[in-house]
Amino acid sequence: MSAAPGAATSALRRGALWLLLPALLIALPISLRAPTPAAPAGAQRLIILTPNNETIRGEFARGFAVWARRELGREVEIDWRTPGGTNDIVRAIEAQFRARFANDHADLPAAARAVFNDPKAGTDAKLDEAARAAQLAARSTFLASEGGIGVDLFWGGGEYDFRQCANKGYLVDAGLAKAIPEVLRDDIIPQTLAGETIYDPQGRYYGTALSSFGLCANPDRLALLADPTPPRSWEDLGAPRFIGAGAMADPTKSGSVNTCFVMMVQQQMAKAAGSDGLTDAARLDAGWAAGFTMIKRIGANARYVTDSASRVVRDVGRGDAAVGMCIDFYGRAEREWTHEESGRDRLLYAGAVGGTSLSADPIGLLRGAPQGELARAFMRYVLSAEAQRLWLYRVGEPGGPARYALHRLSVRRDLYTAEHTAHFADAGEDPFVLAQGFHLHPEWTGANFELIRSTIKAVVLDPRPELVAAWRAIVAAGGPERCPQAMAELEWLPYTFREAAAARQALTDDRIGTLRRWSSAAFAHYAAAQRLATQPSAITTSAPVSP
Amino acid sequence: MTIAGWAALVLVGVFLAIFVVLPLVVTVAGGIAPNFAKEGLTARYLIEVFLNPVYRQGLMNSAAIAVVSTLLTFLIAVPLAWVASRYQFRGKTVAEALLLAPLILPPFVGALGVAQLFGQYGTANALGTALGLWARGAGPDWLGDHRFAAVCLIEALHLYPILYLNTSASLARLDPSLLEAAQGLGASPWTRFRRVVLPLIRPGLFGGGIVIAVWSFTELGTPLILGYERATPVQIFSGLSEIASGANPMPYALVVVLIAISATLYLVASRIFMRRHDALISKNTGAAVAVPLPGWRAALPWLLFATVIVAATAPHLAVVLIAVAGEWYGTLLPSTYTLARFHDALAHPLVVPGVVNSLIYAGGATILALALGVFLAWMSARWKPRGWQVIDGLAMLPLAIPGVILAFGYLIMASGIPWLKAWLDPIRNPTVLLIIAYAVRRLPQVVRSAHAGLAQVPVVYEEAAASLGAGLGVRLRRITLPLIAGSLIAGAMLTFSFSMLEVSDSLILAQKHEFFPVARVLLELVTILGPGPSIACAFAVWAMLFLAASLLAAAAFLGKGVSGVFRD
Repeated sequence: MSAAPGAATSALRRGALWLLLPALLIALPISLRAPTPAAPAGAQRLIILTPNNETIRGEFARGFAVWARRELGREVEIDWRTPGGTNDIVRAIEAQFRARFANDHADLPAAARAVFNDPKAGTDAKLDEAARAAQLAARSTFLASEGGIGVDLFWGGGEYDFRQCANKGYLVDAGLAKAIPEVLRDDIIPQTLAGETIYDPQGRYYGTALSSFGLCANPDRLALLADPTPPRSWEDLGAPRFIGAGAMADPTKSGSVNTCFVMMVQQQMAKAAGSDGLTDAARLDAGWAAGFTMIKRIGANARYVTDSASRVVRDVGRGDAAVGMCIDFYGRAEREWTHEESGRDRLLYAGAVGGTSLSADPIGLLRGAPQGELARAFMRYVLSAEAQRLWLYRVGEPGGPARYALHRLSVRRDLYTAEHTAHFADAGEDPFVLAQGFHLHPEWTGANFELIRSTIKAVVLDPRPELVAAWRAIVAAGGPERCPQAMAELEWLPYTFREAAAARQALTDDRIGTLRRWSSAAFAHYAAAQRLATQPSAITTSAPVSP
Repeated sequence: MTIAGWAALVLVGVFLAIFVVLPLVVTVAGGIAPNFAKEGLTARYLIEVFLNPVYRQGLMNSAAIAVVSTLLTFLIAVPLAWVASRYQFRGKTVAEALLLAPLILPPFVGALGVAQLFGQYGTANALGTALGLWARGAGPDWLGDHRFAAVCLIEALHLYPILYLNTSASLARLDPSLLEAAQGLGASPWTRFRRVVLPLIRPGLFGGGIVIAVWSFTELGTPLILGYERATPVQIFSGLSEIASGANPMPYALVVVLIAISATLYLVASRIFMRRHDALISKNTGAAVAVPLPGWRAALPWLLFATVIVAATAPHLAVVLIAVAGEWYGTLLPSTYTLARFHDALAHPLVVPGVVNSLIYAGGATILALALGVFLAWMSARWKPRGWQVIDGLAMLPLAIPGVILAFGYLIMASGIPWLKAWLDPIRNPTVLLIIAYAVRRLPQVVRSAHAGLAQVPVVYEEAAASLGAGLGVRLRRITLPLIAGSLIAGAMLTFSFSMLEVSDSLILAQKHEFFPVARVLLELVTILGPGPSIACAFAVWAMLFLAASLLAAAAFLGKGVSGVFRD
């Protein structure tokens, strides 16, 4: 333990020598580092919470600085706050508003304070009058307050997340309808597109870009299959040939993924309703069931279910999955990248035939924003043609991005003209044309957005290992056509379309218990399906074998 | 006991109450608040965990992962530590240093490396194609078809250094005369190992084993990335990130159950393994314990070491190759090479501040965890004041709390509770909060390391010093700390390395760019569309080199070999 003084000195000297190594290593990035321009003195600081990646942040920060200098005559600086993905941000917003409100209004009763953000506060008939009044008082106190969380804007994520935040009272009217009426009109930025909200009629959030879900595939994996055609529709993702080779996006983690699944159900219902336009209950029941069978088959084919948007394209590009569902700009960017890397497209991307769902990526003004005026200016900028070109243009084009192409779709209809499309990084993509390809029936799924997600959770995601085992047994036995009994078990649903209202009520009354009953029943049905698919007596030999 | 001891105990107790209990309470309370307002306090969500087959199986699968991973780490670490302590052979220092490689593998990129090795068009399948076993791209789906095995193996290969360090420190304190006596009485090597060595190093095995068991029971990253969906930590994470119009109390109920099971595991294990820790061991004199193995016989331990080193460093190597690869797809090695990604990564404006920040956070956390850990270990091994088990349990609790729960708790309390916000507001500056968060996260390891050290050092030395009039401070400085220095350095190295690469706290608490630590910078790089993963790998290569160089420098300062530092 007690080393001689000489040994200690030599250890010190050796240590000092060794220190050179980390010092040299740290000198390397310092020497390579590009000088970052410091924010100009006296610049006004705007604080934005966002899940948008560094590429997008960089382009818009640069553009806004130029715009503000010209239009506002002042220097600005953006303080980006990025505490994770959209879900993390929403959770952080929620937690901070909750803490702020509890702190500012400690005088209110705790039970009432807890529902300050609940749009249904004060409506629970089970509570007595006094409790309801206390809840209403807490809620209206919050809605009248300017108690913020020190952040100006929330930008990026799904429309669903913004609607939730707006309804809870975290977002407030930015008043753009009055400020830029020439932009917020049907021929520039419409309020809705194919049934999807582009901006909130109450002005609490505005779509800044459009995204859709499409199909990606790995050509090498396809080439190994008996049928190498790339998937063109959502139905194709559930084909037996893609067993164990799909990548499925998780509808319980993202509103826009769920919109995509809602679209699949819509598509099957429209198909069942038929071209004669008859929409009797039996046909709609059949369409609803067909939609869920399709989702089950996609889930059963999937190698995994993920909420990471970048993972699907990476895995398909690398061949770990053969096919997958992905956000359009991830698909386009990965296609460009694999091409650059290997001189050919290692990833194919296409919109889904007859089932492309579009959704907006909004921006919203947070309650109590410290720099409300500048925040509104930023919103105006993001919706301007000047900023919207950044989404679409190739790198280096005048008015385009400086470092990387963003591969996204603008919300402005007036940018999809020949004058602009010549500069596009991805030619031939017009969401306003895509949106015309599908006629949405909001009366079928409008009220069932949550129900569809909960049903997918209970009958696809929670019992997925059992579902996969049953589906594999069915495919091994020759495919769905050969195993009608097993397929009937696999297609089981806890309720029919006609019973959707009752199912919604059951979820409202006891969500956790209902989900458990549904998934427990699904377990039993999938076990039965697997058993039947391995019983020779339950397999028909006359039906054709699936590819 | 002295007034100073009690004062320190109160301070540490208050610290643990604020930084372990409070964040847990605010997160769980916030999660159940809407239901609480409607239903009051209810056990129905806890009961639901056991009613629902999905959650029940999740718990069983997680328990199975913990058991198998822990057994695997024992199989890997104990023989290696035994061989390293018994034999001297050429290149031993290098072998021992390489063994610690898993400590410096940065987050996010490890998964990229494993996917590159075992993907459909990865190295393993390319090898199979070259050997004519299957067509290109038609090889087995290693990671998709063997998820449970892959999770356990990857966790064991990631966590074995913890057990290796603890076991080595214990073996170093073993009195060789006991072994010689056993040998003299005719005990075979196996009997000596089983009857003499194992019982004596039990504190070290327990200290490492319990950390690994609870860690792998609550570990999120590996099962999440491998798509092993039905495991409790994945279900908690999934429930937390679920979008729902109403509140979902289930993840919080699962957290409570997870903590209860971990605590029970800890208590039962400590009852079983720590029954007798009146150590019969004297501090070894260091004289000729390791038997030199000359010539070809040096190859035998190397065979053992190399097997583990190759398996454990394969992801590192893959990360290095991804960083320099132009294209690497369906071939054994990259088909083209480039250094462009290194330039992209190192010239990135976030990189230098990220490294400096992490050094500050991890350095601070190491000092804090060491100070707290030594006190807590001394309290539970020596002092044992009334109710010490409560404080000891609190210090172990962070091991069982999912990282994301603790991190969110910190965010809520440091931005919502005024007196905490005044000096900890993470938006203004998260440095102090991150140092505390990292230290709390690693506290269980440091406490167990230090405790293992104390449990093996006979108390008679301290008693002798006390009878000669040495005060507590003198005894600690001159007797106790030097004797357990190996365990402390092991704890410090683990704390520093893991803190440099810590994920949950870094992602949630460091929100402004100027405060981003290494893990957050890596995430920024990974998410660049297209070349992002390769750029992240390039930065990860640099980070691994830097961490390795820092640990080497620390070892050199202490005048030891890298893994010799913990074996005073």
